[in-house]
Amino acid sequence: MAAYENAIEIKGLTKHFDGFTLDNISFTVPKGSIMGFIGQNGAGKSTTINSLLGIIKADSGEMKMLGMDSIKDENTIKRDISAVFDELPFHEQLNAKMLDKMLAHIYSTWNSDTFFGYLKRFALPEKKKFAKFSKGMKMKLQIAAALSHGAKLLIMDEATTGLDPVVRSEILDIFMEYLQDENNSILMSSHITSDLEKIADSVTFIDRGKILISGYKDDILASHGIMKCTKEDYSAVSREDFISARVTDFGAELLVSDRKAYAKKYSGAVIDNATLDDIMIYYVNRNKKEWK
Amino acid sequence: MKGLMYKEWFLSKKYRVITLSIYVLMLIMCILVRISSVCGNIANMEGKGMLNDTFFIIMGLALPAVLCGMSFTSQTLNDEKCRFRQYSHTLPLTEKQIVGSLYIFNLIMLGIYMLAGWLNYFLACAVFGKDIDLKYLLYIFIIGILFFTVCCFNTLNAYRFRSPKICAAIIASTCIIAYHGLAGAFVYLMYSYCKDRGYDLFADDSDEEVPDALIIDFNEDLSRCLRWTGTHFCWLIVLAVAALIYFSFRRSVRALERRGS
Repeated sequence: MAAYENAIEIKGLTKHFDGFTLDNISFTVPKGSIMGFIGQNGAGKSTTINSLLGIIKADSGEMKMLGMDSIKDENTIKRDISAVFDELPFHEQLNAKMLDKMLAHIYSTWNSDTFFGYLKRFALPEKKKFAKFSKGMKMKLQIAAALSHGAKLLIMDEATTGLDPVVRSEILDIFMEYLQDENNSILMSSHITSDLEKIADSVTFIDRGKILISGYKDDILASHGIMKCTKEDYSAVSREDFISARVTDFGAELLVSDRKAYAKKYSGAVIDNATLDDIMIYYVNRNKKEWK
Repeated sequence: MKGLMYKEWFLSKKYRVITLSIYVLMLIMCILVRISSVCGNIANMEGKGMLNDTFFIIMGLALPAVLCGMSFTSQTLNDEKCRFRQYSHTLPLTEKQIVGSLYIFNLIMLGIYMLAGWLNYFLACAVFGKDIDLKYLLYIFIIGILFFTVCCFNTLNAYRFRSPKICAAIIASTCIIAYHGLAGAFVYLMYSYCKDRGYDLFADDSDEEVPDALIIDFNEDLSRCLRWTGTHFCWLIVLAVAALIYFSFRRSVRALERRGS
């Protein structure tokens, strides 16, 4: 495998559906990092991931994974990547032993010991049919399968959605362990931003098929802020200076994208830290500009 | 590819158990009927009644063949239902390997069912003390292959339309069209045959009834004609079946290559 800097490189990805267009998406996931891919439901996260994985065909654009072209070198790439979906993609009549036998003959690098090690760690039964698994067990099983063939890139589509905080925390720990190897990378789509705030190195925010922000999480959190002011002060703020504003009877809260500059411009204004959740909500309402 | 065949093997367990149970039940019934005919008062074992050895053999073969076919189609639709089809695109496998594994697995299973069908026939013959008639082995083979061909067609539809309802509608309409087409062809042949000999089957003013002998002659001629075709052009039939299976395979691969939306 050739040396590469970015685990994922997407340039100008476009996919048109009736009523939805993934519009010229571009972003990169640096090797050895975890990227959070956030956006509300229907923003285009799954479409991007499915295009990347070859589940759907993109209309145009260039995609590279592990330094190779995702279409030309599809089969080579797929030996070294793993996908985890929000729902278990295995038949409910199967059990973990059967799955091991099946995947051992699909992946040349499959390691049964690792797989059964994860099963033991997650307390998953080997002979119980998947139909009888809970949602958390199914997700753990998918992760166990994904990490048992030495994948260099893990792509997850809403993998932690619907799980309780205990299971989510357990899974996030596994990801942190996985990232101990600097050759491993993760792209994780989710709308549970608190998880990403904990573990993500970088964040890409997509809305209505367009990338709005992409960069290092710390930089994004450092540059954005929530400016709190009274209604009178709010009326004095130029509309170009904020992304959107939440106006209530008590005052207004504005999301600003360059905290330092606005602190200087509006001296005396209180600018609090913004969370990824805040950033997502304020950006989603950017067209309304003002909302309650 | 081997991995996917393992998956099919695990998933077809239910059908294998049902098939095996049918064979065992058939054999038990053969034995019970034989015992009754020897020790009891059942006298319909000489091929005239419905409860003869042919009935057992055909039932013992047709049911497993139907089950084999159901398993073949349901595998494709189940992949779609549980999103394994989506997942399979993330595995280091080509579309040919994904579809090929399903076809090869079912061909192997068909072979096993055929062998089991032959074994069932041998055992039935042994129970009834009859000589083995090789034509039954051929019947078993032909029924199996015909079922496999129909299933290939249905699997192609399953890959293409991804909906059990559409698959069922297509296969049902194909069967209805084929049935009426064959029935129509048969009636037309009979009509032409009788007309050539001076009898009009559909004439309203005709008082003359078509003699039974003519109908018998027609049936004999038709059988002779079919036998002749089978003897001289059986390679053509084999070729047509092989072509149909290959066509279904290619189209299934193409349907999978389209990737979903």
